[in-house]
Amino acid sequence: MSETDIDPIIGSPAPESKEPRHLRRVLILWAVFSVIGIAVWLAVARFILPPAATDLDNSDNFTLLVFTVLAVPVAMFVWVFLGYSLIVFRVKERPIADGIPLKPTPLLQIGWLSITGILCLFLVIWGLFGFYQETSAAPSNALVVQVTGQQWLWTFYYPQYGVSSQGQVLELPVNRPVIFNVTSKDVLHGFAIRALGVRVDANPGEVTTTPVVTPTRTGSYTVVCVELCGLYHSYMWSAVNVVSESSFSSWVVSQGGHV
Amino acid sequence: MKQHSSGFVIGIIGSIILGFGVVAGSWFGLRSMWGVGYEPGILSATKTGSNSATLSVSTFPDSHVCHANVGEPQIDWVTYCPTTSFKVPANSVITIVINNYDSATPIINDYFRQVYGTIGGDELVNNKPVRAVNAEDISHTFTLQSTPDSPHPLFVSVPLVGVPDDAPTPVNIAGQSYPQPNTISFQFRTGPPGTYVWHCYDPCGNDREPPYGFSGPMSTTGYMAGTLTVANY
Repeated sequence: MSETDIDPIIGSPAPESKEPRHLRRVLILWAVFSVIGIAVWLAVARFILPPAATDLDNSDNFTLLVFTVLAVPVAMFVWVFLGYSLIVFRVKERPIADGIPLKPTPLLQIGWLSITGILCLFLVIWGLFGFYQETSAAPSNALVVQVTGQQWLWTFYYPQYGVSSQGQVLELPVNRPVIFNVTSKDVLHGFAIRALGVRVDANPGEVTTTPVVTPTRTGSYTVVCVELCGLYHSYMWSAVNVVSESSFSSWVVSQGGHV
Repeated sequence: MKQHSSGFVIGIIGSIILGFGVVAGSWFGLRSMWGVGYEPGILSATKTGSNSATLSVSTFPDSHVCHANVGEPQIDWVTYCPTTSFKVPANSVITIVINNYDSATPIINDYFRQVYGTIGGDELVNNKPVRAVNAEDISHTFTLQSTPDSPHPLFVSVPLVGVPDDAPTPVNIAGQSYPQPNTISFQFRTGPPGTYVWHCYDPCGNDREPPYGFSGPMSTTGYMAGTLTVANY
């Protein structure tokens, strides 16, 4: 939309001085604030996004980074236009005349639809690509962990080793693919390990299999329940220890399993 | 006599109905808040040495002994007794003795058949060491777990063997007849001071069938869930 598209108010007196070029001002402000916003996000993202312990979670973090970069100009477009209008076009008296009639502008409409359409198409293709990566076939040596949620504790069973974790601990070997088979014994729970990029609903009576994830960094992380599930929901957590293969084998034996 | 418009009369009636609604809503809301915020009294473990202590509790199939003043439906709820808030000394061996007067409710998660986290990896059921219990014979569990901010994780879980459904009821407590209880005892070590939660993982709540078995006493502080505070004393 340009200033030439706006009709003067019928019956209003002719302006005494030349009206400033509002659209150009707003576009310049929008561009400046967008660049600043993107720069700030890129600078602070590393402090906001949690460390990733799998390639899948690295992809999640990268998606958040890119999508936020794309969202900043959209948000600034709204805020700058709103802020500029509130400040520049503010009047003390209650307006009595009708607003400025707007004419449809084909170029504006086509441009708006094209830009938003391309943006949405980009997001869809990005999501499909990520979905393909997550649902690719599991490697033959994947570790299977059966996860059971019950108000208000996660329990973990390792069928390949015939052993359950004796406590609020999920032990995982580094650099070995893992598949979680998640279910619930009572109500809906949410099984989430942010550092591994895992988040899936635990449905009563059904087993949901997560994408294959491969922890690539040893360390301590946390399982939390992300569906409000009752009195002690906030206490429904477990520690996640990503350890070396030898430490994992020792742990399996210590829990009563066989290697 | 002054005539009032129909709108005025309808307004008066509507206001009265709305007023009753507000009062009733406030009453039910406050009653719910009292239930949610109920904090039972604290039972401290009795010290039996410089680094040891004992805590004795019971589990009942109803609340006549421990919550005698509650109405329906709470009076019929299963409950730990005399309280569900426990305090034990830090850096000590704690012996917990539970007299279970309740019959069995089969567990639905085999994980809780096993004994976890006790000294020796077992519990004593009527003085006999046991590491696991048949799922059909369990009436409750005592499962102690850490909160996310616990600097010293603690996890203890023991199944409580239920008394037979048709057992005679020769024991009289507070005017109520109960069967001879099964006595379950176990020991675990505490670390530095901290706060933990414990809970029963057997669906022994309303109707004793999933998913209803997890409601009522299973979701209410003071019945089948509580806290355990490790403190210096």
